[in-house]
Amino acid sequence: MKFLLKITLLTVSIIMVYGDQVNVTANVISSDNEFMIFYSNDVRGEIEPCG
Amino acid sequence: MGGLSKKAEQIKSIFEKNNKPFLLIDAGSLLFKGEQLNSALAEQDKVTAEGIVSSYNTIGYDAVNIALFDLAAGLDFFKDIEKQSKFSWLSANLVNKTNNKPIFKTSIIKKVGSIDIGIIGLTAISNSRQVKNKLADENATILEWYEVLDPLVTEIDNKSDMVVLLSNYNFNINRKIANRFKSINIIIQSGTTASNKAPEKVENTLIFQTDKQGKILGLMNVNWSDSGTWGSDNTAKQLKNKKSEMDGINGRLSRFRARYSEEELKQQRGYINLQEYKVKLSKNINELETALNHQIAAGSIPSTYSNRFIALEVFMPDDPEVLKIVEETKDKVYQIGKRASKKGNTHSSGDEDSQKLLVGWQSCERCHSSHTKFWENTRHAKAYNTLVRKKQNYNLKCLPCHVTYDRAQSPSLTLTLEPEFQLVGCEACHGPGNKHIINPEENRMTTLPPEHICVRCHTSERDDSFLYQNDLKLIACPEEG
Repeated sequence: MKFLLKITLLTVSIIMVYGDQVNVTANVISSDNEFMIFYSNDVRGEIEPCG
Repeated sequence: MGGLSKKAEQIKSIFEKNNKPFLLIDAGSLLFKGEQLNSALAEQDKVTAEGIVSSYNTIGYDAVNIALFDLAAGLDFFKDIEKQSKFSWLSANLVNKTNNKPIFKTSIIKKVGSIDIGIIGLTAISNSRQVKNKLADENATILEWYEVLDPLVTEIDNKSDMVVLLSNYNFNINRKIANRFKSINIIIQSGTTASNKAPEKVENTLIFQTDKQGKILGLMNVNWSDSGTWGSDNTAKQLKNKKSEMDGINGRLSRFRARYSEEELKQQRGYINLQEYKVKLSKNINELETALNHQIAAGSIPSTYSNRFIALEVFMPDDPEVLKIVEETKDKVYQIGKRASKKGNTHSSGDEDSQKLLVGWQSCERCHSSHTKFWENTRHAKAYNTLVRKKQNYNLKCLPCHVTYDRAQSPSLTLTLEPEFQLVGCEACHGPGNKHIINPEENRMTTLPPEHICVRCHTSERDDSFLYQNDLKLIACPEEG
Protein backbone atom coordinates (compact mmCIF):
# COMPACT_ATOMS: atom_id res chain seq x y z
CA MET A 1 0.00 0.00 0.00
CA LYS A 2 1.53 3.28 -1.07
CA PHE A 3 -0.59 5.27 1.29
CA LEU A 4 -3.29 4.70 3.81
CA LEU A 5 -6.75 5.02 2.44
CA LYS A 6 -8.82 6.78 4.98
CA ILE A 7 -12.48 6.91 4.36
CA THR A 8 -14.85 8.13 6.95
CA LEU A 9 -18.48 7.24 6.71
CA LEU A 10 -20.59 9.90 8.27
CA THR A 11 -24.23 9.54 8.93
CA VAL A 12 -26.02 12.80 9.02
CA SER A 13 -29.59 12.96 10.13
CA ILE A 14 -31.47 15.98 9.02
CA ILE A 15 -34.87 16.83 10.30
CA MET A 16 -36.85 18.58 7.64
CA VAL A 17 -40.15 20.23 8.22
CA TYR A 18 -42.01 20.06 4.95
CA GLY A 19 -45.75 19.82 5.48
CA ASP A 20 -45.25 16.72 7.57
CA GLN A 21 -42.27 15.89 9.69
CA VAL A 22 -39.99 13.65 7.66
CA ASN A 23 -36.79 11.96 8.72
CA VAL A 24 -34.23 12.12 5.94
CA THR A 25 -31.01 10.17 6.23
CA ALA A 26 -28.06 11.04 4.04
CA ASN A 27 -24.77 9.22 4.02
CA VAL A 28 -21.74 11.24 3.06
CA ILE A 29 -18.49 9.60 2.08
CA SER A 30 -15.53 11.86 2.62
CA SER A 31 -11.87 11.03 2.24
CA ASP A 32 -8.51 12.72 2.46
CA ASN A 33 -7.45 11.48 -0.97
CA GLU A 34 -9.69 13.86 -2.84
CA PHE A 35 -7.92 16.69 -4.61
CA MET A 36 -8.18 18.99 -7.60
CA ILE A 37 -5.89 19.40 -10.58
CA PHE A 38 -6.04 22.78 -12.30
CA TYR A 39 -4.43 22.44 -15.69
CA SER A 40 -3.69 24.49 -18.77
CA ASN A 41 -1.71 24.31 -21.99
CA ASP A 42 -0.91 26.37 -25.06
CA VAL A 43 -1.27 29.83 -23.55
CA ARG A 44 1.09 30.78 -26.40
CA GLY A 45 2.21 34.15 -25.16
CA GLU A 46 -1.30 35.51 -24.62
CA ILE A 47 -1.27 37.68 -21.54
CA GLU A 48 -4.60 39.32 -22.43
CA PRO A 49 -6.71 39.55 -25.57
CA CYS A 50 -6.03 42.55 -27.87
CA GLY A 51 -9.41 44.21 -27.82
CA MET B 1 -12.25 35.55 -23.38
CA GLY B 2 -8.98 34.82 -21.69
CA GLY B 3 -6.80 36.69 -19.30
CA LEU B 4 -4.41 35.44 -16.65
CA SER B 5 -6.03 37.60 -13.98
CA LYS B 6 -9.36 35.85 -14.56
CA LYS B 7 -7.71 32.46 -14.40
CA ALA B 8 -6.07 33.41 -11.09
CA GLU B 9 -9.39 34.56 -9.62
CA GLN B 10 -11.20 31.39 -10.74
CA ILE B 11 -8.58 29.16 -9.12
CA LYS B 12 -8.77 31.13 -5.89
CA SER B 13 -12.57 31.11 -5.74
CA ILE B 14 -12.91 27.39 -6.62
CA PHE B 15 -10.38 26.53 -3.92
CA GLU B 16 -12.22 28.67 -1.36
CA LYS B 17 -15.48 26.95 -2.25
CA ASN B 18 -14.16 23.36 -2.25
CA ASN B 19 -11.32 23.63 0.24
CA LYS B 20 -9.58 20.63 -1.30
CA PRO B 21 -5.82 20.44 -1.85
CA PHE B 22 -4.85 21.09 -5.45
CA LEU B 23 -2.12 20.77 -8.04
CA LEU B 24 -1.53 23.53 -10.59
CA ILE B 25 0.20 22.42 -13.78
CA ASP B 26 0.68 23.51 -17.38
CA ALA B 27 1.65 21.26 -20.29
CA GLY B 28 3.71 23.99 -21.98
CA SER B 29 3.71 26.21 -25.07
CA LEU B 30 3.28 28.92 -22.48
CA LEU B 31 5.58 31.70 -23.63
CA PHE B 32 5.39 32.03 -27.41
CA LYS B 33 3.08 31.13 -30.28
CA GLY B 34 5.56 29.42 -32.59
CA GLU B 35 8.89 27.62 -32.74
CA GLN B 36 10.63 30.80 -33.89
CA LEU B 37 10.08 34.47 -33.12
CA ASN B 38 9.25 37.09 -35.73
CA SER B 39 12.18 39.49 -35.37
CA ALA B 40 9.90 42.54 -35.50
CA LEU B 41 7.93 41.24 -32.52
CA ALA B 42 10.77 39.64 -30.55
CA GLU B 43 11.35 42.39 -27.97
CA GLN B 44 7.66 42.71 -27.15
CA ASP B 45 7.21 38.93 -27.13
CA LYS B 46 10.04 38.48 -24.63
CA VAL B 47 8.64 41.12 -22.27
CA THR B 48 5.23 39.44 -22.51
CA ALA B 49 6.81 36.05 -21.73
CA GLU B 50 8.36 37.53 -18.59
CA GLY B 51 4.98 38.94 -17.59
CA ILE B 52 3.37 35.53 -18.01
CA VAL B 53 6.03 33.92 -15.81
CA SER B 54 5.53 36.59 -13.17
CA SER B 55 1.77 35.94 -13.27
CA TYR B 56 2.31 32.18 -12.98
CA ASN B 57 4.57 32.80 -9.96
CA THR B 58 1.78 34.78 -8.30
CA ILE B 59 -0.92 32.25 -9.20
CA GLY B 60 1.27 29.57 -7.62
CA TYR B 61 1.84 27.09 -10.44
CA ASP B 62 3.69 23.95 -9.40
CA ALA B 63 5.16 22.83 -12.70
CA VAL B 64 5.20 23.72 -16.40
CA ASN B 65 6.39 21.54 -19.24
CA ILE B 66 9.04 22.89 -21.61
CA ALA B 67 7.48 22.78 -25.07
CA LEU B 68 9.21 23.63 -28.33
CA PHE B 69 7.43 26.99 -28.50
CA ASP B 70 8.88 27.93 -25.11
CA LEU B 71 12.37 27.72 -26.60
CA ALA B 72 11.60 30.10 -29.48
CA ALA B 73 13.72 32.94 -28.07
CA GLY B 74 16.73 30.66 -27.61
CA LEU B 75 18.13 28.62 -24.75
CA ASP B 76 19.92 31.52 -23.06
CA PHE B 77 16.71 33.52 -22.83
CA PHE B 78 14.89 30.44 -21.57
CA LYS B 79 17.53 29.91 -18.85
CA ASP B 80 16.87 33.48 -17.68
CA ILE B 81 13.15 32.72 -17.67
CA GLU B 82 13.79 29.61 -15.58
CA LYS B 83 15.70 31.71 -13.04
CA GLN B 84 12.71 34.06 -12.74
CA SER B 85 10.27 31.17 -12.24
CA LYS B 86 9.12 30.06 -8.80
CA PHE B 87 7.66 26.91 -10.36
CA SER B 88 9.56 24.02 -11.95
CA TRP B 89 10.13 23.87 -15.71
CA LEU B 90 10.36 20.21 -16.71
CA SER B 91 11.80 18.31 -19.64
CA ALA B 92 13.12 14.76 -19.51
CA ASN B 93 14.42 14.82 -23.07
CA LEU B 94 15.89 18.29 -23.66
CA VAL B 95 19.52 17.38 -23.12
CA ASN B 96 23.08 18.60 -23.47
CA LYS B 97 24.24 17.50 -26.91
CA THR B 98 27.68 16.45 -25.70
CA ASN B 99 26.77 14.23 -22.76
CA ASN B 100 23.01 13.62 -23.22
CA LYS B 101 22.34 14.88 -19.69
CA PRO B 102 19.09 16.77 -19.06
CA ILE B 103 19.54 20.54 -19.03
CA PHE B 104 16.54 21.20 -16.79
CA LYS B 105 14.65 19.22 -14.16
CA THR B 106 13.15 16.07 -15.65
CA SER B 107 10.46 15.63 -12.99
CA ILE B 108 9.25 16.62 -9.56
CA ILE B 109 7.20 14.95 -6.85
CA LYS B 110 4.56 17.12 -5.27
CA LYS B 111 2.53 16.21 -2.19
CA VAL B 112 -1.14 17.10 -2.70
CA GLY B 113 -3.15 16.30 0.42
CA SER B 114 -2.05 12.79 1.28
CA ILE B 115 -1.05 11.89 -2.28
CA ASP B 116 2.47 12.08 -3.73
CA ILE B 117 2.15 13.06 -7.39
CA GLY B 118 5.11 12.53 -9.69
CA ILE B 119 5.20 14.95 -12.63
CA ILE B 120 7.37 14.41 -15.70
CA GLY B 121 7.92 16.82 -18.61
CA LEU B 122 8.45 15.88 -22.25
CA THR B 123 9.41 18.17 -25.15
CA ALA B 124 8.39 17.33 -28.72
CA ILE B 125 10.95 17.08 -31.50
CA SER B 126 10.81 19.78 -34.15
CA ASN B 127 10.43 18.98 -37.84
CA SER B 128 12.24 22.19 -38.71
CA ARG B 129 15.91 21.83 -39.64
CA GLN B 130 16.41 25.47 -38.69
CA VAL B 131 15.07 24.92 -35.17
CA LYS B 132 17.19 21.78 -34.74
CA ASN B 133 20.30 23.62 -35.91
CA LYS B 134 19.61 26.50 -33.59
CA LEU B 135 19.39 24.10 -30.64
CA ALA B 136 22.57 22.34 -31.80
CA ASP B 137 24.36 25.70 -31.90
CA GLU B 138 23.43 26.04 -28.25
CA ASN B 139 24.83 22.54 -27.59
CA ALA B 140 21.37 21.10 -26.96
CA THR B 141 19.22 18.45 -28.55
CA ILE B 142 15.90 16.74 -27.90
CA LEU B 143 15.87 12.96 -27.50
CA GLU B 144 12.98 10.72 -28.47
CA TRP B 145 10.46 9.90 -25.72
CA TYR B 146 11.35 6.19 -25.79
CA GLU B 147 14.99 7.03 -25.11
CA VAL B 148 14.28 8.70 -21.79
CA LEU B 149 10.99 7.47 -20.31
CA ASP B 150 11.94 3.86 -19.59
CA PRO B 151 13.98 4.28 -16.44
CA LEU B 152 12.39 7.59 -15.44
CA VAL B 153 8.74 6.49 -15.30
CA THR B 154 9.66 3.46 -13.17
CA GLU B 155 11.70 5.63 -10.81
CA ILE B 156 8.93 8.21 -10.40
CA ASP B 157 6.27 5.51 -10.06
CA ASN B 158 8.22 3.93 -7.20
CA LYS B 159 8.42 7.23 -5.40
CA SER B 160 4.86 8.44 -5.87
CA ASP B 161 1.19 7.43 -5.75
CA MET B 162 0.21 8.92 -9.09
CA VAL B 163 2.22 9.75 -12.22
CA VAL B 164 1.38 12.72 -14.45
CA LEU B 165 3.11 13.32 -17.77
CA LEU B 166 3.09 16.82 -19.27
CA SER B 167 3.69 16.10 -22.92
CA ASN B 168 4.37 18.30 -25.91
CA TYR B 169 3.81 15.34 -28.23
CA ASN B 170 0.63 14.85 -30.25
CA PHE B 171 -2.19 12.50 -29.29
CA ASN B 172 -0.99 9.60 -31.46
CA ILE B 173 2.38 9.51 -29.73
CA ASN B 174 0.83 10.09 -26.33
CA ARG B 175 -1.39 7.07 -27.01
CA LYS B 176 1.73 4.99 -27.71
CA ILE B 177 3.27 6.26 -24.48
CA ALA B 178 0.09 5.34 -22.57
CA ASN B 179 0.10 1.86 -24.09
CA ARG B 180 3.70 1.30 -23.08
CA PHE B 181 3.74 2.91 -19.64
CA LYS B 182 0.71 1.74 -17.70
CA SER B 183 1.88 3.48 -14.55
CA ILE B 184 1.35 6.90 -16.13
CA ASN B 185 -2.10 7.91 -14.87
CA ILE B 186 -2.54 11.24 -16.62
CA ILE B 187 -1.13 12.84 -19.77
CA ILE B 188 -1.86 16.51 -20.40
CA GLN B 189 -0.73 17.53 -23.85
CA SER B 190 0.27 20.80 -25.50
CA GLY B 191 1.18 22.12 -28.92
CA THR B 192 -1.20 19.98 -30.93
CA THR B 193 -4.86 20.41 -31.72
CA ALA B 194 -6.72 23.62 -31.02
CA SER B 195 -9.65 22.65 -28.88
CA ASN B 196 -10.74 21.22 -25.56
CA LYS B 197 -10.19 17.51 -25.41
CA ALA B 198 -12.06 15.68 -22.68
CA PRO B 199 -10.13 12.92 -20.90
CA GLU B 200 -9.79 9.86 -23.12
CA LYS B 201 -8.79 6.64 -21.43
CA VAL B 202 -5.99 4.66 -23.06
CA GLU B 203 -5.08 1.62 -20.92
CA ASN B 204 -4.79 3.19 -17.46
CA THR B 205 -3.99 6.69 -18.69
CA LEU B 206 -6.30 9.66 -19.19
CA ILE B 207 -5.11 11.91 -22.05
CA PHE B 208 -6.48 15.44 -22.42
CA GLN B 209 -5.86 19.14 -23.05
CA THR B 210 -7.62 22.51 -23.08
CA ASP B 211 -8.22 24.96 -25.89
CA LYS B 212 -5.34 27.32 -26.62
CA GLN B 213 -4.51 30.95 -25.79
CA GLY B 214 -5.55 30.77 -22.17
CA LYS B 215 -9.26 30.86 -22.96
CA ILE B 216 -9.98 27.84 -20.79
CA LEU B 217 -9.00 26.60 -17.36
CA GLY B 218 -9.14 22.83 -16.99
CA LEU B 219 -10.25 21.37 -13.67
CA MET B 220 -10.21 17.74 -12.59
CA ASN B 221 -11.70 16.60 -9.32
CA VAL B 222 -9.94 13.39 -8.39
CA ASN B 223 -10.75 10.79 -5.77
CA TRP B 224 -7.61 8.70 -5.79
CA SER B 225 -7.55 5.19 -4.41
CA ASP B 226 -4.55 2.98 -3.81
CA SER B 227 -5.78 0.59 -6.52
CA GLY B 228 -4.07 3.07 -8.86
CA THR B 229 -6.62 2.42 -11.60
CA TRP B 230 -9.28 4.61 -13.12
CA GLY B 231 -12.78 3.28 -13.12
CA SER B 232 -16.35 3.94 -12.35
CA ASP B 233 -17.12 3.63 -8.66
CA ASN B 234 -20.41 1.80 -9.27
CA THR B 235 -20.97 0.41 -5.80
CA ALA B 236 -20.72 3.79 -4.07
CA LYS B 237 -22.86 5.36 -6.79
CA GLN B 238 -25.57 2.67 -6.52
CA LEU B 239 -25.55 2.98 -2.74
CA LYS B 240 -26.05 6.71 -2.96
CA ASN B 241 -28.96 6.27 -5.40
CA LYS B 242 -30.65 3.60 -3.27
CA LYS B 243 -30.38 5.79 -0.19
CA SER B 244 -31.97 8.69 -2.01
CA GLU B 245 -34.76 6.37 -3.07
CA MET B 246 -35.18 5.28 0.55
CA ASP B 247 -35.52 8.92 1.61
CA GLY B 248 -38.34 9.33 -0.90
CA ILE B 249 -40.16 6.23 0.33
CA ASN B 250 -39.86 7.31 3.96
CA GLY B 251 -41.38 10.63 3.00
CA ARG B 252 -44.33 9.04 1.23
CA LEU B 253 -44.94 6.63 4.16
CA SER B 254 -44.93 9.57 6.58
CA ARG B 255 -47.59 11.33 4.54
CA PHE B 256 -49.77 8.18 4.64
CA ARG B 257 -49.36 7.99 8.43
CA ALA B 258 -50.32 11.63 8.83
CA ARG B 259 -53.49 11.16 6.81
CA TYR B 260 -54.80 7.80 8.09
CA SER B 261 -55.21 6.01 11.42
CA GLU B 262 -53.38 2.74 12.15
CA GLU B 263 -56.53 0.77 11.30
CA GLU B 264 -57.13 2.65 8.04
CA LEU B 265 -53.51 2.15 6.96
CA LYS B 266 -54.06 -1.63 6.93
CA GLN B 267 -56.60 -1.10 4.16
CA GLN B 268 -54.42 1.23 2.08
CA ARG B 269 -52.96 -0.81 -0.81
CA GLY B 270 -50.45 1.94 -1.71
CA TYR B 271 -49.15 2.03 1.88
CA ILE B 272 -48.80 -1.76 2.01
CA ASN B 273 -46.94 -1.87 -1.34
CA LEU B 274 -44.56 0.84 -0.16
CA GLN B 275 -43.83 -1.01 3.07
CA GLU B 276 -43.04 -4.18 1.13
CA TYR B 277 -40.79 -2.28 -1.26
CA LYS B 278 -39.02 -0.62 1.70
CA VAL B 279 -38.07 -4.03 3.10
CA LYS B 280 -36.55 -5.03 -0.26
CA LEU B 281 -34.73 -1.74 -0.57
CA SER B 282 -33.28 -2.00 2.96
CA LYS B 283 -31.91 -5.42 2.11
CA ASN B 284 -30.40 -4.04 -1.08
CA ILE B 285 -28.77 -1.17 0.79
CA ASN B 286 -27.29 -3.53 3.36
CA GLU B 287 -25.78 -5.67 0.60
CA LEU B 288 -24.25 -2.66 -1.11
CA GLU B 289 -22.83 -1.36 2.16
CA THR B 290 -21.22 -4.72 2.83
CA ALA B 291 -19.76 -4.80 -0.71
CA LEU B 292 -18.39 -1.27 -0.34
CA ASN B 293 -16.79 -2.10 3.02
CA HIS B 294 -15.13 -5.14 1.42
CA GLN B 295 -13.81 -3.01 -1.44
CA ILE B 296 -12.43 -0.48 1.02
CA ALA B 297 -10.73 -3.22 3.05
CA ALA B 298 -9.26 -4.85 -0.08
CA GLY B 299 -8.09 -1.53 -1.55
CA SER B 300 -9.82 -2.33 -4.81
CA ILE B 301 -11.98 0.77 -5.17
CA PRO B 302 -11.16 2.38 -8.50
CA SER B 303 -9.99 5.98 -8.61
CA THR B 304 -12.60 8.33 -9.97
CA TYR B 305 -12.58 11.81 -11.48
CA SER B 306 -14.75 14.47 -12.99
CA ASN B 307 -13.51 17.02 -15.51
CA ARG B 308 -14.61 20.59 -16.30
CA PHE B 309 -13.50 23.14 -18.85
CA ILE B 310 -14.02 26.60 -17.39
CA ALA B 311 -14.31 29.25 -20.10
CA LEU B 312 -12.61 32.45 -18.92
CA GLU B 313 -15.12 35.08 -19.97
CA VAL B 314 -14.69 38.85 -20.14
CA PHE B 315 -17.28 39.44 -17.41
CA MET B 316 -15.47 37.26 -14.87
CA PRO B 317 -13.70 39.01 -11.97
CA ASP B 318 -9.96 39.63 -12.01
CA ASP B 319 -7.38 38.81 -9.40
CA PRO B 320 -6.00 42.29 -8.52
CA GLU B 321 -2.40 41.15 -8.02
CA VAL B 322 -2.19 39.33 -11.37
CA LEU B 323 -4.12 42.13 -13.09
CA LYS B 324 -1.43 44.56 -11.90
CA ILE B 325 1.30 42.35 -13.45
CA VAL B 326 -0.69 42.16 -16.70
CA GLU B 327 -1.15 45.94 -16.79
CA GLU B 328 2.54 46.54 -16.09
CA THR B 329 3.49 44.10 -18.84
CA LYS B 330 1.11 45.73 -21.30
CA ASP B 331 2.66 49.08 -20.43
CA LYS B 332 6.18 47.74 -21.13
CA VAL B 333 4.99 46.40 -24.49
CA TYR B 334 3.36 49.77 -25.19
CA GLN B 335 6.56 51.68 -24.40
CA ILE B 336 8.66 49.39 -26.62
CA GLY B 337 6.29 49.95 -29.54
CA LYS B 338 6.10 53.67 -28.91
CA ARG B 339 9.89 53.99 -28.84
CA ALA B 340 10.16 52.02 -32.08
CA SER B 341 7.54 54.21 -33.76
CA LYS B 342 9.49 57.35 -32.81
CA LYS B 343 12.80 56.00 -34.08
CA GLY B 344 11.18 55.77 -37.49
CA ASN B 345 13.30 52.77 -38.39
CA THR B 346 10.48 50.27 -38.22
CA HIS B 347 10.40 49.48 -41.91
CA SER B 348 12.48 49.62 -45.06
CA SER B 349 11.91 52.00 -47.93
CA GLY B 350 10.39 49.06 -49.83
CA ASP B 351 7.65 48.87 -47.19
CA GLU B 352 6.89 52.54 -47.61
CA ASP B 353 6.57 52.15 -51.39
CA SER B 354 4.23 49.27 -50.87
CA GLN B 355 2.13 51.30 -48.44
CA LYS B 356 1.81 53.97 -51.15
CA LEU B 357 -0.40 51.56 -53.10
CA LEU B 358 -3.02 52.29 -50.45
CA VAL B 359 -4.94 55.53 -50.89
CA GLY B 360 -6.93 55.66 -47.66
CA TRP B 361 -10.67 55.63 -47.09
CA GLN B 362 -11.13 59.38 -47.67
CA SER B 363 -10.12 58.89 -51.31
CA CYS B 364 -12.80 56.21 -51.62
CA GLU B 365 -15.35 58.53 -50.04
CA ARG B 366 -15.16 60.99 -52.94
CA CYS B 367 -17.08 58.60 -55.21
CA HIS B 368 -18.55 56.09 -52.73
CA SER B 369 -19.90 58.27 -49.91
CA SER B 370 -22.88 56.02 -49.19
CA HIS B 371 -20.47 53.12 -48.71
CA THR B 372 -18.08 54.98 -46.43
CA LYS B 373 -20.99 56.37 -44.43
CA PHE B 374 -22.19 52.83 -43.81
CA TRP B 375 -18.65 51.64 -43.05
CA GLU B 376 -18.10 54.43 -40.49
CA ASN B 377 -20.69 52.72 -38.28
CA THR B 378 -19.10 49.30 -38.49
CA ARG B 379 -16.64 47.87 -35.98
CA HIS B 380 -13.98 47.91 -38.68
CA ALA B 381 -13.93 51.71 -38.59
CA LYS B 382 -13.42 51.68 -34.81
CA ALA B 383 -10.94 48.81 -34.67
CA TYR B 384 -7.90 50.95 -33.87
CA ASN B 385 -9.75 52.95 -31.19
CA THR B 386 -10.47 49.67 -29.41
CA LEU B 387 -6.73 49.15 -29.09
CA VAL B 388 -6.20 52.73 -27.88
CA ARG B 389 -8.80 52.21 -25.17
CA LYS B 390 -7.04 49.05 -24.03
CA LYS B 391 -3.58 50.60 -24.40
CA GLN B 392 -2.65 47.95 -26.94
CA ASN B 393 -2.10 50.34 -29.84
CA TYR B 394 1.67 49.83 -29.82
CA ASN B 395 1.40 46.06 -29.46
CA LEU B 396 2.61 44.46 -32.68
CA LYS B 397 0.67 41.30 -31.95
CA CYS B 398 -2.56 43.31 -32.05
CA LEU B 399 -1.92 46.14 -34.49
CA PRO B 400 -1.92 44.32 -37.86
CA CYS B 401 -5.58 43.37 -37.50
CA HIS B 402 -6.70 46.80 -36.34
CA VAL B 403 -5.20 48.93 -39.14
CA THR B 404 -4.95 49.04 -42.93
CA TYR B 405 -1.53 48.14 -44.30
CA ASP B 406 0.08 45.95 -46.91
CA ARG B 407 0.19 42.64 -45.08
CA ALA B 408 3.03 41.38 -47.23
CA GLN B 409 5.26 43.77 -45.31
CA SER B 410 6.73 43.62 -41.81
CA PRO B 411 4.15 44.16 -39.05
CA SER B 412 6.46 46.84 -37.63
CA LEU B 413 5.18 49.08 -40.44
CA THR B 414 1.93 49.34 -38.50
CA LEU B 415 3.64 51.42 -35.80
CA THR B 416 4.11 54.43 -38.08
CA LEU B 417 0.91 54.59 -40.11
CA GLU B 418 -0.83 57.85 -40.92
CA PRO B 419 -4.15 58.35 -39.06
CA GLU B 420 -6.21 57.54 -42.17
CA PHE B 421 -4.80 53.99 -42.03
CA GLN B 422 -5.30 53.60 -38.27
CA LEU B 423 -8.56 51.69 -38.81
CA VAL B 424 -9.71 48.73 -40.86
CA GLY B 425 -10.54 50.69 -43.98
CA CYS B 426 -11.94 49.92 -47.41
CA GLU B 427 -8.63 48.65 -48.78
CA ALA B 428 -8.16 46.13 -45.98
CA CYS B 429 -10.96 44.09 -47.61
CA HIS B 430 -11.03 45.36 -51.23
CA GLY B 431 -7.28 45.69 -51.85
CA PRO B 432 -5.08 48.69 -52.82
CA GLY B 433 -6.95 51.49 -54.60
CA ASN B 434 -4.05 53.38 -56.21
CA LYS B 435 -4.85 52.24 -59.78
CA HIS B 436 -8.61 52.36 -59.28
CA ILE B 437 -8.64 56.08 -58.34
CA ILE B 438 -6.79 56.92 -61.57
CA ASN B 439 -8.94 54.85 -63.89
CA PRO B 440 -11.90 53.23 -62.12
CA GLU B 441 -13.40 51.59 -65.22
CA GLU B 442 -10.24 49.77 -66.23
CA ASN B 443 -9.12 48.96 -62.69
CA ARG B 444 -12.14 47.48 -60.99
CA MET B 445 -11.91 46.72 -57.27
CA THR B 446 -12.79 43.38 -55.72
CA THR B 447 -16.36 43.98 -54.60
CA LEU B 448 -16.84 40.94 -52.41
CA PRO B 449 -13.79 40.12 -50.28
CA PRO B 450 -13.08 36.40 -50.45
CA GLU B 451 -13.05 34.40 -47.22
CA HIS B 452 -9.26 34.07 -47.14
CA ILE B 453 -8.99 37.87 -46.75
CA CYS B 454 -11.30 37.85 -43.70
CA VAL B 455 -9.67 34.90 -41.96
CA ARG B 456 -6.29 36.60 -41.95
CA CYS B 457 -7.70 38.29 -38.85
CA HIS B 458 -10.90 36.44 -38.02
CA THR B 459 -9.07 33.23 -37.23
CA SER B 460 -10.59 30.57 -35.02
CA GLU B 461 -8.07 31.62 -32.37
CA ARG B 462 -9.23 35.23 -32.27
CA ASP B 463 -12.84 34.96 -33.35
CA ASP B 464 -14.22 31.49 -32.85
CA SER B 465 -17.77 32.61 -33.66
CA PHE B 466 -16.81 33.95 -37.11
CA LEU B 467 -18.88 32.56 -39.98
CA TYR B 468 -17.99 34.05 -43.35
CA GLN B 469 -21.45 33.93 -44.92
CA ASN B 470 -23.14 35.40 -41.85
CA ASP B 471 -20.58 37.95 -40.81
CA LEU B 472 -20.15 39.29 -44.33
CA LYS B 473 -23.65 40.75 -43.99
CA LEU B 474 -22.46 42.90 -41.08
CA ILE B 475 -19.98 44.76 -43.26
CA ALA B 476 -21.65 44.51 -46.68
CA CYS B 477 -21.87 48.07 -48.05
CA PRO B 478 -25.33 49.09 -49.35
CA GLU B 479 -26.02 49.27 -53.10
CA GLU B 480 -25.06 52.66 -54.48
CA GLY B 481 -28.12 54.71 -55.38
